[in-house]
Amino acid sequence: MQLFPAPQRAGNLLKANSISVQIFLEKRVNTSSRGRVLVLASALLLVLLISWFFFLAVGIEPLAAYKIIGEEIFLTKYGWQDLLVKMTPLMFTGLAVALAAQMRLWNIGAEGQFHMGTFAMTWVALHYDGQLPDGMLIVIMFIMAMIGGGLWGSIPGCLKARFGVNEIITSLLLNYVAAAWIDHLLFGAWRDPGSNNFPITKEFSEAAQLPAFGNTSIHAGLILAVIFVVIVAWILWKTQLGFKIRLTGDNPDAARYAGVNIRTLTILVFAASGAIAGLAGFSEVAGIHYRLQQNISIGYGYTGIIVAWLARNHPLGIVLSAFFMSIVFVSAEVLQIEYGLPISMVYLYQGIILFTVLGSDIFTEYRLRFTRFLL
Amino acid sequence: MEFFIQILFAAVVMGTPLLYATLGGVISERAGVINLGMEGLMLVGALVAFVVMLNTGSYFYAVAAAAFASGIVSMIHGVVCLMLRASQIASGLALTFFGTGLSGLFGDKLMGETVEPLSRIPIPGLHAIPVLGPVLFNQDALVYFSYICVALSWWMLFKTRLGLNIRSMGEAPEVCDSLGLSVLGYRFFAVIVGGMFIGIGGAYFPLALTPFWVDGITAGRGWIAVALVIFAFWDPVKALGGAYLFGFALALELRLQILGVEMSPYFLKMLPFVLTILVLTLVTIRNNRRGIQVMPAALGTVFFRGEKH
Amino acid sequence: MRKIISKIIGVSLTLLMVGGYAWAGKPSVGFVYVGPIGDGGWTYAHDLGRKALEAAGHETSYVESVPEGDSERVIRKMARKHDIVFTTSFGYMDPTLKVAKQYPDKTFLHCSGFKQSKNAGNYFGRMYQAKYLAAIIAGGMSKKGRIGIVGSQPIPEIIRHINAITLGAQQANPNIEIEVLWINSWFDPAKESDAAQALIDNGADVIVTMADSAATVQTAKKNGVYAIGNDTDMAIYGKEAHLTAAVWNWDVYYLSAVKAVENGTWKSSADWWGLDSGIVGLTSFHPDVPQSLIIQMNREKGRILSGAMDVFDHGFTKQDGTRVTKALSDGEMLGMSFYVKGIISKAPSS
Repeated sequence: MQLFPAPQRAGNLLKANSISVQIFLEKRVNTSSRGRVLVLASALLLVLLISWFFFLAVGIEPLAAYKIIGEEIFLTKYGWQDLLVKMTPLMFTGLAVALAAQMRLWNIGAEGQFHMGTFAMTWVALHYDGQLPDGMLIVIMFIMAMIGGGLWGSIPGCLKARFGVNEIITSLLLNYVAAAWIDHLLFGAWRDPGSNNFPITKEFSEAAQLPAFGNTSIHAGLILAVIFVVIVAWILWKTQLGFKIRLTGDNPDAARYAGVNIRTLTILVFAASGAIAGLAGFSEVAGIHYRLQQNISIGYGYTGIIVAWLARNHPLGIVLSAFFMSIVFVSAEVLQIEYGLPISMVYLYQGIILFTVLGSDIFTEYRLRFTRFLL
Repeated sequence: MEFFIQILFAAVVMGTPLLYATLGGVISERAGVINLGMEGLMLVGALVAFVVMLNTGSYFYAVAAAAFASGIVSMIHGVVCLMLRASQIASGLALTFFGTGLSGLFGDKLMGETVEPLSRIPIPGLHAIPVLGPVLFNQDALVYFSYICVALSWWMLFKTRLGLNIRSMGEAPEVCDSLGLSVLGYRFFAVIVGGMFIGIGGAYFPLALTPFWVDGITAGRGWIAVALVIFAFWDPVKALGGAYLFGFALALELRLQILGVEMSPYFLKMLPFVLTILVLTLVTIRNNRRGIQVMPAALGTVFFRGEKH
Repeated sequence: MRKIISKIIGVSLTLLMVGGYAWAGKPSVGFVYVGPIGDGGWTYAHDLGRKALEAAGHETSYVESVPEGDSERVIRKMARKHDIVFTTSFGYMDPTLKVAKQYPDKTFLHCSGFKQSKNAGNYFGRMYQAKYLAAIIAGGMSKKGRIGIVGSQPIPEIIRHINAITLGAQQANPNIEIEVLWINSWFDPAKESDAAQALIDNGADVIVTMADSAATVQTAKKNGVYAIGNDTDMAIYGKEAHLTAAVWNWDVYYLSAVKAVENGTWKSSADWWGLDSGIVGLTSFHPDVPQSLIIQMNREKGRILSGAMDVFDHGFTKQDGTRVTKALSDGEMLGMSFYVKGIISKAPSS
């Protein structure tokens, strides 16, 4: 980071009556949290604006649509329930990506770690059901999900630390392997004869299910996610280990000079990141589905990348950005149900919104400066 | 022997859309820009190719329009991650949504329409070569065009000034910038040209493989191409080998069943990816010893003048 | 006391609501689809059924491409908006039941599953009967005596259909050979096409597909062989090759089930409707199909319609040579994982 960044030219000269306006992008010297909130708010406004045009284009009265979406999501018990349920896995995967990113490591493999987490916990749930004292089963499943995701995550970590193999690539490739592995089990050994041989495992017993709140679908996974957000934030900012992680992310040379063992730290952070992604799988399977089947992750690992990025990899920001992404997804369903929009329009809408948010985020770090001068 | 030739032939056919998409990815990533939105771009290319083919009956226009449309759509990726400096990974994911949605939306009314698929044109002389002839030189025009594209993009990347500059953008954008080269310009160029190739990859589906339109016609090939770019070590010629190897794996999965070989199809599906990781690791180790960098060093990074990463 | 009062209030409220339906007119219906309507197959067929409900004056809406991971939420949204919710993929079974418990005054119908509750039933059609009849045509039209089947994923439903096709084709040609290739994917048109090509290369001259897209019909057309369509009429994609298609007519079921709910006569059950209901059927035949073959097919059809026989009830031989003499129960058919004799490919290991 430079203290006195030189203004950069980003745009062309705009000519107006012999007075030229030159647009500069200037890096903000320090991004205040108030400024960040302002920018996020303006991004939201921009999203509203863009969707206004989108709605007009597809023949929907925008104000009415905002009203319906707002009511459906925020004014009903179910709306909140849906948001919180959807947020849970996104918080885990977002946190997983963010933790690695604090060390400038890209974990694109949260999707695969999610799957391996579900694999490890399901293995326990299928083989040790009824053989463990009350309450133990779910705890062991929890630990196994972390181990499953963590080991899977440590592969790109090790390859990076030991040989310098790019972690973006290895973690991405391992997603395909994990997905095929789950299919192999579902179409093979784990297929439940009691369910007409469909590619689903047998339903977990109650001992292997996370408790839900009242009559809702919100489950204990949400609490776990919040706890983990706090734990990661605490580690990052209050411990020696966190300091090392952040220092390595900011300036590896300084970290090396300060005696940080970057190799070990890389493996550790990647394993931890994978473990957290594995918990996303744990919370989905033990909290909602109670069995392993196909398509349990609907790209949570990938969406987690967006979540982490929007939060600027800050654990507490993850909560907000996961919330935001949930709104994007849940509002899409409202559009489908209320207006009969086809899924393709919904994808398009989501794509446009993501582009908008991604594109507008630049203004948290840079600000436009207009300089006028006479030609 | 006949059976063997059939597998190889199918490998080339199945590998061709992958090859185009991989070439596009190679060019883009050589300039330092990862594009995870390949699936979306391929779908856009497939749809546009089909619509244009349906209305003009010209393969040439169809392919050109597919390339053009995907080039335009990939510009969004360029704007978001090059000019607005968003994460390339996140922007690519948004592109997947966008392209999938766009193709589905405009493909809505096309159910039941069909076009005449590209016919095979044996190349005189060459197609008589044993094994290689029927496999490589008894294909359709888009397959032949892919050979040319491989050669051209290899030549462009490694034998021309333009290619050198593009590659430099992926290695050391700061240095290029200080030499007065426009990082933004070259990277934009690479993203668009890459996007055009990816679009042609998509066009191969309705023009040759499955001459009709159905939502999501590429069935995840874009994601395989993302992995293939790595497998090819950012080299157009190796992309050819990689794409055919993946095509071979697809063709083999079916023909092993004919031979009655019992093998979990899921292991077969994993194999190429595991292989890629292994090879990548081995090559990286070898190159570490020799001090060669195999991957574009600045891949995935945001370049901003005056900033250090 | 308080409990009793609240119960009374609750009951009267429920009564009011039930009464409310009668006044409000026709029940509204929501659909949850696993694929896009544009798949031209499974989801498309269901959506034709939904359109029939619209035409009959019901308010309907749908959500497409709902992955299993999201289904519970979408089903719940549908339940809040509609009186009846149809969920059309096996993977939605548990979520459907879960939501049904939360909305006891709504009706839920899940396609292809096996669980029920008081307000959640399931439904399916005996597609294997239509496949059996289509296969008689296929068997008669194969000159080389070899039929190729493109399978999607090896689940009991598809295996049941493959067996029905084999038994049907044997009606026309007792020595017919059936070769099966699994693409191991629910949707991959390019691979379906390659699978059809591989089967044709290996000697098949009639291709039957279990996958959604028209890719196999196209490939058959290109190679000058015949094909049988799946789920919807695929003749538009290649009438030169398209012998017939075994199709779903979901409107038959949807109209009837919704009517029953409307009249208050609906009871949760496991409906597995057969050929006689019209839920499955064949499309018009290729001009090449000789009249004698159609007569033979119609004879079998008549026996199924009259209840004189079903596909798996009059004895058959499994691939391993064991003879099955007694009729299979619905449960046995629903969990089918073996091949019958006549299929030359190995059964997928389970």
